[in-house]
Amino acid sequence: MRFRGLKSLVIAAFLMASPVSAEPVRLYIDADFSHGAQAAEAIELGVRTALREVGGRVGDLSLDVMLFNNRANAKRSLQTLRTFVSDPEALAVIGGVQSPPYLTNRKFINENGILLLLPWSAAGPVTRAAEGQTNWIFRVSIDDTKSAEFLVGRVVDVHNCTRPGLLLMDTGWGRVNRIALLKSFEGRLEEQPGVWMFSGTVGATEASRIAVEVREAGIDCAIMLANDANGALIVRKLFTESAPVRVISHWGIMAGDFPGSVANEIREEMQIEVLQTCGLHAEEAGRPEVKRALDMAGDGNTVFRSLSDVPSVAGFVHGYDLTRILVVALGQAVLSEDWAGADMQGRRALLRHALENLQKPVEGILKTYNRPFRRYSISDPDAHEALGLSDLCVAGFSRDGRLVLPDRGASLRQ
Amino acid sequence: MTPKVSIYHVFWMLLGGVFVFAVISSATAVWLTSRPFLVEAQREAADVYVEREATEIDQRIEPVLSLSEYIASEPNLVSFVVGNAITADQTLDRLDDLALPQGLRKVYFFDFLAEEIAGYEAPRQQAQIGPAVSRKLKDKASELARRAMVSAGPRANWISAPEAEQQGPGHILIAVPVMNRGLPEGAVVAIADLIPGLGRSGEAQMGAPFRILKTDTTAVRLAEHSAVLSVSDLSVVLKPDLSIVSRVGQELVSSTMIAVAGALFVPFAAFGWAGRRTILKPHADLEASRNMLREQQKELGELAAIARKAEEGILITDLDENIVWSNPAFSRMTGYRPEELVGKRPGALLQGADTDPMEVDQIRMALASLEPVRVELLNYSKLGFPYWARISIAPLFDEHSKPYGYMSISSDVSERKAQETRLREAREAIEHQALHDELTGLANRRRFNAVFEKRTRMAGLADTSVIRVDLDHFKNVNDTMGHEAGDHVLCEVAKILREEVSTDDLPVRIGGDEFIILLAPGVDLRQACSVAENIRERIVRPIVYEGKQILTGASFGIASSGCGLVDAAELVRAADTALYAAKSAGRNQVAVYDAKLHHSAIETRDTAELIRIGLDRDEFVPFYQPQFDAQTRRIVGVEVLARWKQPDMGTLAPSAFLDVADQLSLLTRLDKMVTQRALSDIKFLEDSGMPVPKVAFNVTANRIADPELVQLIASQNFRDTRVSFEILESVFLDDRQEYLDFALDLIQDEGLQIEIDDFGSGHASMISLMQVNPDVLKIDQRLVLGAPDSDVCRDMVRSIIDISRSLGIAVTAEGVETEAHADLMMEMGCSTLQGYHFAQPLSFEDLQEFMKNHQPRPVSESGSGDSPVSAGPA
Repeated sequence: MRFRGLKSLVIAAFLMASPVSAEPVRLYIDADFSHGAQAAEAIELGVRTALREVGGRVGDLSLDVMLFNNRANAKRSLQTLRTFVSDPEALAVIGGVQSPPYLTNRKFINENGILLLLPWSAAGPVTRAAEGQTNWIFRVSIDDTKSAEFLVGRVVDVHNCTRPGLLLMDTGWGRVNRIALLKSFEGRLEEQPGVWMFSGTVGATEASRIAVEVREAGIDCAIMLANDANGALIVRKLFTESAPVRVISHWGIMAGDFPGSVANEIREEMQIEVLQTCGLHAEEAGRPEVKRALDMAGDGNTVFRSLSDVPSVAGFVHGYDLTRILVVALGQAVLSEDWAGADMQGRRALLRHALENLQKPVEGILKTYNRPFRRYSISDPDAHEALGLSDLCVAGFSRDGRLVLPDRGASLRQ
Repeated sequence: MTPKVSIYHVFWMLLGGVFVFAVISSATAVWLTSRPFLVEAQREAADVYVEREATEIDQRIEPVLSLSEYIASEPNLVSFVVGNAITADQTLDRLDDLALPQGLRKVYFFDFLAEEIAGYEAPRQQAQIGPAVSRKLKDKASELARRAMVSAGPRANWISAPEAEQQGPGHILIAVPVMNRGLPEGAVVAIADLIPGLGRSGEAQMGAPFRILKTDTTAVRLAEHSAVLSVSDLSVVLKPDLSIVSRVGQELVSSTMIAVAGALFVPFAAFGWAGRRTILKPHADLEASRNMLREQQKELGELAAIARKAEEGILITDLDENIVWSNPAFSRMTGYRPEELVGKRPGALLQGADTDPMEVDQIRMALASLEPVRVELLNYSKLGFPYWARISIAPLFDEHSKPYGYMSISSDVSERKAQETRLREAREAIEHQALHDELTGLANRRRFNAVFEKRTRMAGLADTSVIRVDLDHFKNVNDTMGHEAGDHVLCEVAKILREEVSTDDLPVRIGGDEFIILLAPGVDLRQACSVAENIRERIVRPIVYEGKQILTGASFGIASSGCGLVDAAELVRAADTALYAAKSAGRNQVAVYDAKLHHSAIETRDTAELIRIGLDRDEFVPFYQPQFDAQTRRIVGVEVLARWKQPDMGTLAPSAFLDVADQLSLLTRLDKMVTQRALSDIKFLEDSGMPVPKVAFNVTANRIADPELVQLIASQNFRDTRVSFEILESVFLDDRQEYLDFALDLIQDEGLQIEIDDFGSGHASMISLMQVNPDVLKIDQRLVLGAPDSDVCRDMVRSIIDISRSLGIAVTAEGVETEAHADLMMEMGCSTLQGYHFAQPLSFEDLQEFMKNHQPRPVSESGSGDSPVSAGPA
């Protein structure tokens, strides 16, 4: 590990000292730096950490990061995408937490050849291009088409819940997951679970009503899809209005300061679990990349001893792994014959091709990626998904609100 | 010179000035005291007005604001605004279900870039918004949306009604941000009409409508009267029109002035009236009498000077007509010194034997009635010389209109009088000359026309009769005895006319030897005949001139309106017709225009009309009477005879139309028509192989001199036909003009023949005939017809033939009606025969037929008697 870090530094120093003037290219981060600032910043940290490892350069290219705050607004995101299209030095866009901007703008992205790399947003259709369209979207994150099955397995098989319920935010994301979750429940319980949908701006009254209904329905486990604010409200109301319910939450609540909004005693009482990829487990398992990344991520003021120290850690982990893959792919692309003569659109295409045909394995925090992406087709819908069902885990909260491995060391890995 | 200002002017100007000053002073005082109150009243009213308007506007804004906020918080809208929802349909449907605030016109939805992403049009809008305003509204809405997003709170704006749509509403724009998780991500902008008329109630008082302005503007901060609306962006501002205060002040001043003027008018008027009577009038009367006196003195002095220097004689008498004063001019005119005149009566001094007593009476009557009079009078000077004076006399009155004498102004107009007399005499002489015949002193045609026209205008009152007189063979008198003798005869005839007519009759010489007498009104036909007969009897008496007797006669034509045949205006023409009849009947007689003549005249007139039509329609055609060789009876020629194929009357011989055509001067045209046609016919025969050896045309002396005729014949280029002209013997009776000889020579030079027609009927000189050197003599048919039974005729025929033979001239016998005539003429030596025995005049078609069928006599049967006279080389 030390050797590797040294090597990186040498490469970076070499690149920076190179008399050849570097050609600047830009990486856009299109994320919600307002409400979901914590998650967005975690992604940014992961990206910058990975870049820092290569000194911000690949070959003759100097990689610069530009931040665009989409405030979870698809139109704002579209604005960024348009800016990207007209920017001759923009190489790729790295997305934020929310899926709606990319669900809404997917057609625009694919039609305009915008290379979009998603480290967090989970909506299934984003990486599945329509037939006849070139697929320009790659993901290193949870895919909701997999998460439903994982969450249901967690409820039924691990916790042996008999009367589960679904608490879903009434958005496109929530509605898509409702279908997927109910489908996953089919045949596994005597009766289908109860479903409660609530709006993104749900207030205390409605949250109370839902909590009462949950109690009255005798729910023992709840799968929750919410963001940090409304998720916190629902949890608080469940705690006060209802009998103890085990909450297994999708990771939407980790986009913000969910632990800050929910008291520790509640978290403990309700045994809240959060869907995560298996970064913590990798750390636990001692993957050297975790330590290296944490070392690189910290600066003079901030020191990360563990992934748990990183707020919205999923964003950091995925952002880091994603950028690692990107750097390798870019290094592969610039070696192609066409690179030098190609314009930026041509180079994006070459990079996209390199991503689908990565020649070398990439060492990430979560795992070693052996050809994470493939050429996409309708018959291979997971071609642009770097992670699969086996990469999903859950995490719990420590008393100070950090994500940690679930209590009592029980393996949550599935 | 500075015009003198009258006391009237001074008085009234002073009075008026004081009046005006009093009124203006009063008005000024009122204005100065009332103005602060007016200003304060307006200020208070403005405050109330602004507050009230602000409240009213707030009441309208509030529902719009509420709606906007409500819609902006709709999850569906939030989802749409942030781009998660594709359409705003759910929000728009929601709006449809809501009770919308009054006046809401549009709701716009903007995204975070303040770009419009959807819009809602409120239904049932009355007033339409023009495209320019609509565009402006959208721009403003976008700008307001941006502001609302920046401030994360409601914002408002106001667009006043555009000037072009003064009747339209203004618009309030309310923008509310669409918040997503606490941050503005778009905006809803609602646009509502501000109802027209809002705020108008105060306009009249304030002079200007309120305005809605942004609160943070300088205009609002400086405004004296303003109120912030509930949406604090906007304030209602009023800038009262200070001119209102001025206007109200002016009205106050005006009212005050009217009132004060009304109040002061009566005392000022009373003062003016009294002042006028007690001050002005006596002063003015005194001034007027002074002026009058001055004027009179001046006038008298001027008049005296004028009178002394006047060219006219001026005389002043007392009421008894005794002279009181005279001027030097009067003395110069009369020869009397002034002192000789004083105390004398002018009439006694100046009037004499030839002074017109009528004029004197006129003066006397005028003096008696104190009327002015103007006369021209023959006076006598002191030395007894007469002179004409034009005198104007007028009575003189004193200032009390009492007469005290007469004034006469006279001037010597003798010279003018003499000139007038000379002028009148000269004019009379000219007039007489213009209307009278110089030779005979009778009235001339001009005078006759004037008198006759005047008479005919009065026709119907009495009979009008006219006698036309022509002297018979008067030309002979002139020719044989000279023009002086002719003039003498004319004067004698005039004398007879004067003596034989009454003074009311008008004898006239209308030219040459032609006279006409317009008899006095009421003279009937019988009396006219008597007058004419008397004159005729006297004219036929010998007239002695220079010891020689001259015999002459006269023909008379009389026409009278009493016969009822013609109108008075037609009398002269009728008398002419009668005169023509008298001449035709042998002259020296009186003929009356009676019913028979009238009928004949009408007939002639009808014939004339038909001739004209016939000429236009080519109804005049040539007929051909063949001529035969006396021996062989072969056709040796044709004589061309004119015929009129009149559609109604059939084919007419020349006797039916020749005279009338001659009178109408249409003979030449008729002749030309027939000649042309005949030449064409003959040429046709020649071209058809049936040539006529000779064609003979009857021509008059005038026609033969027409060069066109010869040209026309030459243009035919006859090869086998000779052309001959038949000229009446009578042509040679009268004195032959030179042109005739010239024309005959020309004809003969052209190779044309000349035949003397009707030879033996006249008394032409044989020598003159022979000078013509004719080719043929045509014996008058009366001699031929009489020859079998009359020795005289036979002898004459024989003599003619003998003469012809001796001169080598061929002889043609006309009027051969029987075989006996034919044989006799042949035996006597005629070479050519022509007459009904052989053929009547034939139409061209009949001629062709005749020539085809004609069989000449066998040669063996001829030859008895003398051999025929050769017709020359033919």
